[in-house]
Amino acid sequence: MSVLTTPAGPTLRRRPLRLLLTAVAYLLPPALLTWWLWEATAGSTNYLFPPLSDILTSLRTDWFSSAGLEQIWPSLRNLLVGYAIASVLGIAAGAWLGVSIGLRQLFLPVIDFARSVPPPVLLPLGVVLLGIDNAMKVAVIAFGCIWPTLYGAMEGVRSTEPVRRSMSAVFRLRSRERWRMVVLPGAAPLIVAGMRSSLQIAFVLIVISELIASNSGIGFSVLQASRTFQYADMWAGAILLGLLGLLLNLIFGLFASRVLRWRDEEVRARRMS
Amino acid sequence: MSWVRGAAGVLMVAVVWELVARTVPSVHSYLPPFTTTVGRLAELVLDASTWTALGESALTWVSGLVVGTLLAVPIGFAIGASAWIQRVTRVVMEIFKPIPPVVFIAPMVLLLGTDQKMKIVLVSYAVFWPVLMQAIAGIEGIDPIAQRTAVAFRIRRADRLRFLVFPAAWPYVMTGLRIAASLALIATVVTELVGGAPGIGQNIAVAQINSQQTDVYALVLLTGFLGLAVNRTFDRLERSTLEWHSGRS
Repeated sequence: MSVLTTPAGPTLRRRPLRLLLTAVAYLLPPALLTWWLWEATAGSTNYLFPPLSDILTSLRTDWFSSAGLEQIWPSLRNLLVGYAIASVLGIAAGAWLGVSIGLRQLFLPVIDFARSVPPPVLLPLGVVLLGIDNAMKVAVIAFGCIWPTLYGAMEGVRSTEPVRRSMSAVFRLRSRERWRMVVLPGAAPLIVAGMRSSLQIAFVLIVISELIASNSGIGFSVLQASRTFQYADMWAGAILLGLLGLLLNLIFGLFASRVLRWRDEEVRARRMS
Repeated sequence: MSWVRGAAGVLMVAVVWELVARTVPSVHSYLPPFTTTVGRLAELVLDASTWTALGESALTWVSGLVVGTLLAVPIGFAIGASAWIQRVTRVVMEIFKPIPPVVFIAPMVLLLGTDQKMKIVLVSYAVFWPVLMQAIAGIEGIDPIAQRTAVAFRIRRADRLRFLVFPAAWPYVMTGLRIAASLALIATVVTELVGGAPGIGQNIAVAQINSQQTDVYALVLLTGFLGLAVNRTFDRLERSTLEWHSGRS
């Protein structure tokens, strides 16, 4: 379709150039910044800002090595498990609360309170309740990041368009079909928005969950470096966290655009007409 | 009568807590009963030192939120105004954005000491990124036709900011502020918990080190109330400043 309607000649010829320019626009600034920092900090004796070459060396030896990967994996696993638990529970509980005003009235005050407790204070509590193993860290991550997903699912289910609700009643959709074909797709944009915030919080919590009573993991290593004045190692850890965050956001972006494809197509179609 | 049901929900949780703490022997040493915790909370609330700590935390939280927002909004508007600046800054921002401020606590303590200033710097850093990202998205979201109309009518720059840019971007900034508000509270408590700065987080750390279980629970409840006040304030602010905006979630 689009092949027929777009003036193919000039756009096609210009496309490789455009793509190249965009890639340069995205990648040149970080490259320039790296080069400038490299030059500016070369031979630096400032304890807080060691030479970038040292930082990149520790990034390679501390993290991109087998010992480093062994540190990254437990943290990443805690993050993924905690986030998965939070997503499943959050969507289920949110959907459940979204369908009934009675349930909302009963439980929202308790939930409002629970989401207001800042997760770091649960750390001492988690140590008291669950001990110092991974289960405690996963629990802190899951408890801390569940709320945006839960609220998103609740609002999304609650705000199912009345017309769609009536339509599914007219078509006599069974409850399972109604959830799968009407309610959940309708709630998806808000659920995905909630899951995006949840992921950001979960990412902060990997470091926070390793603050106390911990002896391995990315957060532990970075904090250890920072406490013992190993600033090259600290910056290397910070760069690693930045890169990991970038990667997770990219993966989440792909997931989100896949889940919301129907909506984006609808929006595009509306714009075309 | 929604508050009656709400109260019933709270009561239900309290009863379950009380029963578990009193009847399950294995959790007895970890989990003080609800009534004991609330009793301790009442004692703490009557103690002036608790209010000093709470005040310290609240002051850090508010100052960090204000400083971070005042930095992030103009920068975000500037970046959002041009597609090229956005592309140029994107990768650098995406790498810096996920680095949690906790990482920088130790050097900050070394540079600035364990006082308010250190806490405010770290909290502003935590606030800066979500507000910045939302401010950029807000500028992107301005209706291009409205923008061209404003240019065609030769509306002055100041008026354009006031009547077009701010109203259009405000819902986005508000969303960023809401996320930032809870991240700021997390950052505040962490700097106190780890950085040793005075505040409610430090009280919790001290209670935990001294194995005063009941105090830990009571202070966590108290922090929850602080967070609840924060969230309520922001929900209300959002509702009252965005009444005109139908697309709010």
